[in-house]
Parts: sequence; structure tokens; C-alpha cells
Amino acid sequence: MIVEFGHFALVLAVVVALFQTAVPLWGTLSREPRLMETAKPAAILQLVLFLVAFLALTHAYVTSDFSVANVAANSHSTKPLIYRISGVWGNHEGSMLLWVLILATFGAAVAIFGNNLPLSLRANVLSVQASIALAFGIFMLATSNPFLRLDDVPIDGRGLNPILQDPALAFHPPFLYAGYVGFSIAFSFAIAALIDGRIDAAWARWVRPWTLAAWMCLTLGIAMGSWWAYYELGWGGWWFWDPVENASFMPWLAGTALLHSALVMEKRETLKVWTILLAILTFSLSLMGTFLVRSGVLTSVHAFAVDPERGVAILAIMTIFVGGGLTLFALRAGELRHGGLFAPVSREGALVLNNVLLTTATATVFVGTLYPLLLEGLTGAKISVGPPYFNLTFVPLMVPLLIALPFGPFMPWKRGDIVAVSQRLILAAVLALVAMVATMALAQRGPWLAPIMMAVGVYVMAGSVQELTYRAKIGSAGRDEILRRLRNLPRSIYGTTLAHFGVGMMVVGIVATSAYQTEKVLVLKPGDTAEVAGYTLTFKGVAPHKGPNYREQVGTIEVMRDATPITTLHPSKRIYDSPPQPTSEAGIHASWRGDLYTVLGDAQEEDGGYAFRFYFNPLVRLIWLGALVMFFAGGISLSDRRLRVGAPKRTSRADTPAGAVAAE
Amino acid sequence: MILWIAFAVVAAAAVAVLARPLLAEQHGVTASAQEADLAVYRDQLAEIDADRDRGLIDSAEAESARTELARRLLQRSEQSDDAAQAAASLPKSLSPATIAYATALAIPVLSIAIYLALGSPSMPGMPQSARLHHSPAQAGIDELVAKVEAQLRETPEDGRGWDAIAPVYLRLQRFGDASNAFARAIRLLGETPKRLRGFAESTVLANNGIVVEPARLAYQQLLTKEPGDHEARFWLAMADEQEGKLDAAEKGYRSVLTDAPEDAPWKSVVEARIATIAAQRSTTEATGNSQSGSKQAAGGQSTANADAGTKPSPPETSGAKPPGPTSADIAAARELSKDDQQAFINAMVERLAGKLDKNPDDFEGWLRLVRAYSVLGRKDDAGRALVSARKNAEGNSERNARLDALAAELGLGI
Repeated sequence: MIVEFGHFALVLAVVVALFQTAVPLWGTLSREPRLMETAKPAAILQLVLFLVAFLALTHAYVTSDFSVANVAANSHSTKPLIYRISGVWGNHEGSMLLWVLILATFGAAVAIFGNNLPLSLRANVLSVQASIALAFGIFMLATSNPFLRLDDVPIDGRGLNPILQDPALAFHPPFLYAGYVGFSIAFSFAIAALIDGRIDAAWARWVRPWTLAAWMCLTLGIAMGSWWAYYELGWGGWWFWDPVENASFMPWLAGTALLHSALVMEKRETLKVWTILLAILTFSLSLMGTFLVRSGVLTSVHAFAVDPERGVAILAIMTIFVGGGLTLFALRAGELRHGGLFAPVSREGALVLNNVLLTTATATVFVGTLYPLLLEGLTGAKISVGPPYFNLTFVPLMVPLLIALPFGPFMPWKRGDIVAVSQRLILAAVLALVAMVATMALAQRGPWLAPIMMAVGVYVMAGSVQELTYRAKIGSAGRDEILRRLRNLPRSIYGTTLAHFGVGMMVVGIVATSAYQTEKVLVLKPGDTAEVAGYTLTFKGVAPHKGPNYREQVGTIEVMRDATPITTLHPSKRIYDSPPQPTSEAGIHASWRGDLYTVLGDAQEEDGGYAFRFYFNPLVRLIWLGALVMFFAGGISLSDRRLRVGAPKRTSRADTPAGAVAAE
Repeated sequence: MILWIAFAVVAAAAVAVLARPLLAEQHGVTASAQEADLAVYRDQLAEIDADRDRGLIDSAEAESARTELARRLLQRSEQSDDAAQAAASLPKSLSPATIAYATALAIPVLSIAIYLALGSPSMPGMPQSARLHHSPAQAGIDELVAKVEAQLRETPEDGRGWDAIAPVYLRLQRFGDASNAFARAIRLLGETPKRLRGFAESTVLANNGIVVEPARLAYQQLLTKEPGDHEARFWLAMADEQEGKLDAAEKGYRSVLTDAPEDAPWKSVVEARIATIAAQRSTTEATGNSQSGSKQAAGGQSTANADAGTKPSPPETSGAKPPGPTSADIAAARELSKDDQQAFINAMVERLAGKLDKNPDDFEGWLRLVRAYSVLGRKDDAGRALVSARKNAEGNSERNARLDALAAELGLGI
């Protein structure tokens, strides 16, 4: 009953999306406010219905209702509750439902918080948003319906792939999708502006917070995925330039560019056309990510060709929205008015440089990801484009970006003085040199480029902090004055500083781990010891253990450092009951210096020893801490009043400016 | 019924929500785009002042920003939205009320029509907990097993539960589970011949017939409890055979045969094993002979290996024609007595036929099969194979020509 009710809610939601696509748009085209007004209740209704459908499916998963084909294929009654819930989106159908649910959530948020939008803009935005939901809704009902039932009800389900049964991965897709789908708002705003043929002054102000929220979620989602790959796959790596990873990374790069160009658009009413294009491209890349991951085209072009129904449907959706968006752009972009002028050396110029480098980087990732697919499709040759390609193309683009990064926030709008800004950054440069020398002294090995890159990372961190100290006049003003200034700084400045600092942390973490990782593969018998990066590891033995739905062999390793016990690690090998699949769980000791990472291998038949792989990954935590810092930086920026309000409410126009000053 | 009432209520609510703004009175003022723009500019002006007061920008910067904004403000207040609107305006062909009524009709009809096409309204939800509380009389074996399994997850130390479910697993061919359950029953309740036998049997079956070490130990244990047990002795001999201890294995098999009951159905199986061992022995000898005997063949082989690159070719089924006798097979056949040879060849041909059954595209295989049947004097079989081959070569004139030639050569009149 609950299942069928959810099914009906899903159908009704799609029908409501159809209404919401057609009626408000008709309203704006025929200038009929009553039609435009329907957008808001429709968007909220659509969210409620998708939510009911989602909860009904979740209920089926939690109660293990195997009469639902999707549950039977992807769940198992012995799974712990959290993985029965995360199993909802651990499969194609369920994840599409989550996708449209998040889409509807963003749409409803625009409806609820968009009271200050001009009526026609809101109607257009919600109409475009609903058209995306409509397309994916039809796709779900036609090819990927999660509510189909089984006549012959199996007694238990087939289970969820064990490597997906993991906390980080359980919550990785919702964040990733919130990121992907969040960019749909920017897309809808862009299309709405193109439909109207003009861009409202507040356009960028409305787009920026949504883009920022989506960007935050995507940042966290990608970081979680990388974190999961790091400790679950047991290779000690954290990023593999895998097409699935790239599929989420491309919208992130484009979204980062969009975030920055929207800034220029808001402050200077310039780069309008470019920002609109970027908004369309960013969401197109999100759609492409969905296509790549959901169509199965990545596993093999041929697998896709054998069972093309879903892939072709998503490809069609993608073509309609990307093609339609770009066509509309081509038709209407000429009508958009251009804005203020600026000198090449200026805040605008710096942001343009940021955009050029980020979009070029996106393009290199795009080529590296799609070229193998294209080649396989055309000639059947299977090649893989791996780290060497990306190291040669992506990394060189990042270096100038990182070097220019601290300059940006120091630059005044319109026209700046690069010499003056350089002088302000001298301290950061000095710190960077110190870091470089220190790296060389400490490491005494590794590629020659590594110390330089470490210096770049430290320079970005220091340069970001310096912006804050400069603005607060630390070093030149009295203590009270500094405190007053720090209090008065808008939160968006703290957001900028923190986000850039996070980028620096990430660079340092990436370089340190990539260049200075220690790896040891060896066989230990119980009682044997090994030395890894200053730690003494003693293998105590292996014992069996039984979890809720797996059995495992758990190794025990005592870790000592300078003769003092540090910790005991338990790397293990698991066999899940259903499906019976082995996984290996790494034992990781985290410290500021880096991670000691241990993997238990196979037992050696002859002498009772076990194979082990030990890694020491220096400063690896900085990668994810950096991402976390970026996430919180986005949150701080989002809480800035100026971003949050978007446009003034007409009823409270009189007191808003005064209130803003008083509050901050 | 309740379900349909629920559907009706939800659909009605949806219609009410959507139609309400359509049926509302036309409200006078809506936020015009121009007003919204002007409000933004005024807000930005205030922000510039605030930034200047905080010292974020100096007064010169503030002044130039103010000028720019003021210019935008003026520009915008002179423009009206009407020009753009008039151009894009469509005639109001339908009144909002008409759309509201159309919505009220279309939404329920459309959603229920789609739902009827996809949904299963008569099917109740079946949470697993509810399904496992049926009366056992109605429940199928699967459900009973699931019930016991659920119980055993709660009380994994309940040996009797494992003892009860283990043979059921074995009958359901869930060998891995059976092996595990027998092992637990033995650990918790102690060894009995029945449990040992069950454990050993399910373990062997779970390992695709390989007598792995735990199974071997269990059979040995079973022999101490039930000396002379035929099954245990047979499998222990099998373990020897799998380890390559052919003499010990043969001795074991023969000892099983000596005191086997006259009418034991498994006697033929044991005899077959002994025959296989004999064949294996002769094979090893034969390959030994041929390797030392013909240098030429060895030389040819090494060139082939060189062509294939550094990868060593797999020992038996290498080469382009998978189905068919390998050199080892032929060598083995040569060493056999006349009758055995015939049986061996027959077995080989049957194997080829079986392979072609699975993979009928192998045209060369069909040619060999037809020829083989006719050499063995099985004309009927040869004819049938020829028909099958023709069926698979349909539309390929070159292949059909070859089949015709073959039929003529062998005197098969089809």
C-alpha cells in the first residue's frame, strides 16, 4: 500500500512538473500574472510529491519489502539499517529518484525564498527547473521506475555491493547530487534571462548564493568520494583521474569559474554574456556527469551499445537541454547589454584570468575523459588516459592560477597596481621560500619540482591570510582598531580568505603525498617487525571476527615510535555474506605528520606469514581538511547578509541598509 | 479501496493547490522588473557607503563606484520594460479560469492513467517481517529457511538450529552455507558421523568437487568413528588422486571395490575412477615418450611459442581450433588397447559434439564431427551432423560448397 502510494505520488509529481513547465511560461509570454503565480505552489507541491515517493521507497528498503523489484535487486535483510537506507540511492533507479528530489528541493527553495524576485523571472526560472524535472521524471517512469513490483517475491534480496557499504559512501551521492543539481538553478536563471531577453540587475545576486550552495555540496561530495577511495580501495591513493571522478570534477571546475565570474557580474555588471554561458556549461557538465555514470558508457562503450535504452534516453535529455540552452544563447546573447569597462590589471582582470585558466583546465579534463570513449566508439581501440596526461596538461594550468590567486583579492576594481600588490605579498613569498628550503632539507629525495610546488601551496595559504591582515591593518594599527576592523569585515571576505587558504592546504597535501609517499610490501610472520617512516610495526597475528553481514580476518599490528607505543592497527580482509565478495579494510593511523596506512594481504601458505602493504602518506589529511575548509568557507560566505538577501524586500526597503550596517 | 481513496484525496489536493492562483481575483500591482532593478541599485549604493565606513574601500574608490551606480540607476529608470514586453507578448487566448478547469480535469486523469499502466494497485506491501510471521503450514521451504536464518542471527550459538538447517541447505544446493552450518553444529554440539559426513560432503561440493583439506580431515575422522565407511574411503582416495598420488588413489579405490556390496549403484563410478587413473598414467608416460622421441615436433612448438610472444601458451587447449583432440589425447589413445581406443575416440567425438551444441558457429568443428562420425561408421549421426552444419552455414555459399564436397567425398547422400 505504501509502495503503491509512493508510486502514484511519483506519477503525480511528474504530471505536476508538466503543469509547472507549461503554465507559468505561458503566463510570462502572455503577460498574465495569475498564470505566473502558479509557479510557486506548483514547485512546492512537486517537492512534496517527490518527497512522498522517496520516503515510500525508503520505507520499502527499511522494511525489506522484496516485492519491490528495486529493493529485491539491491538490498538484503541482514544489512545494517544505515545501509538499507543508503541502498535507496546505491542503485540506478533510486539514485535517479534522489536526483529529481534534490532538483525539486532547489526549485521549491527558489519558490519559497524568491518572494523578492520579479514575478516573471521567478515564473521562468521555475518553469525551466520543472522542465528538467519533467524530462528526468519521464525517463524514470519509462526506463528506470523504482516502484515496479515482482509477482514472484523472493525471500531475500541480492544485496548491495559490499564496497559501497561504507559511511562515507553512504552520504557521498546525496552531496554530489546536491552539487550537480544545484547548478540547475544557475542554468534555469540563465535560460530565464535569455527567454526574457534581458538580465535583471540582481541576476548575479540571485544566482550566486545558489551556485555557492551547489559548489559547497559538490566540494564536500567529491572530497567524500576521494576519502572513501583512499581508505576503502586499499591502494593508498586518493584520486585516480578515473572518468567517474572526472565527471564530478568538471562541473566543479566550471562551477568555481562561475562563482568568480558572477562576482564580477554583480559588482560591475560586466562579463554578463560570459557568465550566462558559463552557467549553461556548468549544468551541461553536470548532466554529462550523470550521463557518463548512469548510462554505463564508462564500463564499456560496447556494454552501452548492447543495452542502450537508458543511455540514449539520458543522452537525449542532455542534447535537449544543452543544445536548447546553447541555441537560445546564440539567438539571444547579442541582445544583452554589455557593462562597465576595466583595465587588464584589476580585480576584474584577475577574475577573468581565473576564468580562462579554470575553463581551460575543464577542457583538458573533458578531453582526457571523453577521448578514450570516442576512440573506442569509433575504432574499438581501448586506451586509458591516466595521470601522465593530466600531470602534463592540468597541472601546468594550475600553477599560474595558484600563483595569481593571492593577487586577486588585493586588486581594486577597474584598475590596479600590480607592483603595489606584489609588495604586499612579499611576506607570503618569503614564507614560501622557507617552506621550499625546509622541504628540501627534510625530504632530501623526490622529484625536483616537489619543493617548488610545496612553496606554491604555502604561498597561497600565506597570501590568503595576508589579505585579512592587510584589510584589518594588522601591524600598522592599534589593537582596538584591528579588532574593530576584524569585526567589521563582511563575512564574504572571511569566506574568500578561508576558501583560498583551503586551496593552499590542498596543494600542500597533494604535493607532499604524491612526491614523498613511502611504500613497503613485505611478508610478516606473527612476531615480526617492520620499519616504515620512523614507525616500528609489530605484527601480532590474525584473528577471525564476524560482523552483522560479513566475516573477516583481522590483523593486529602494534605501532611504536621511538620505543613508545602509539596505537594498534587492525587492517582486515572481509568476506560479505551476500553477495559473497571480499573487501579489504585498511588500518590507518592518522597524525599531523601524515597517515600510516596498513593493508592486510593474503596468507602465505608455506610459513604462516601474511603479505602486508604499508604506506606512509605525509600530510595527506590536508587534502580533505582543505576541502572541508573550503566547504565551511562557502558556508560563511553564504551567511553574509548581502549574499543572502539577494534583492531588497520592497516592504522593508527603508530599514534594510541601516540594519545591515548595524548588524555587521 | 483505501488506496484509491488516498489517490483521489492527493490528486484533489494537488488540483486545489494549482488552481487556486488561477481562480484568484486579478491583483493590481505585481513587482515590475524595473522596480526590482532600481531597488537593487539603491541597495548597492548603501553597501558602498557601508564599505567606505568600514574602511574596506577608500573614499576615492567609493566615489567612483557611486558615480557608476548612479549612472546605471538613471539609465534603468528611463527605460521601461514595456518595449521588451510588447514584443514578446502572446495573445491571451485562454482565460486563467479555463486553464484551472482544464487542470482540474487533466491532472487526475493523466496521473491515474499513467499509474494504471505502470502500477500494481492490487498488490499489498510485503515487508519481510510480516511475511515471516505466516503460519508455517502455508510457508514454502524458502520462507522456513529464512525464518530459521533470522533466528540464528539472533542466537548464533544455538547448535540445534544449525544442526537442523544444515541438511536443508545441502538439499537446496546451498553448499557453502551447508558447510558453514555443519561446521557450527559440530563445534557447538560435537562430532557425530552424520554431521561429519554432511560437513565433508557439502565442503567438497562447495569447492566444485575438490577434496580440500578440511573435508579430507573430516572423512578421516568419520573413518575412525565408522571404520570401513565406503563413502569416506572413496573420497579419501579421490583426495589422493587429486594430489597426484595415483598409486595410493588406485589402492584406495580397489579396496573400496573389494568389500562393496554386489548391487551398489556407485560401483561403476569407482571403476570409472580406476580407469581414469590408468589413462592418466599412460598419458604421462606417453608425453614423456613423445618429448624425448621427436625433436622436430618440439622444435616446431618452440617456434610457435616465439611467434606468440613471451607469453607461455596454456598447456592443453592452445591453438586456433579449440574443440578437437589435443596431442596428449591422441598420444593417450595410441597407448590404449583396441577396445579402449574405440571407447576413447567415441568419448572424444561426443565431447566435440557437446562443444558444438554450445557453440554452433564453429564451422571447422562441424566438418571434423561429420568426418569423425563417418569414420566411426555412424552414418546416421554423420547425416544429422551434416544437416546441423548446413543449418549453421545458411547463407554462406563458400561453406555450403565445402559441405557439399565433404558429403560427396564421404558418400553421404544429402
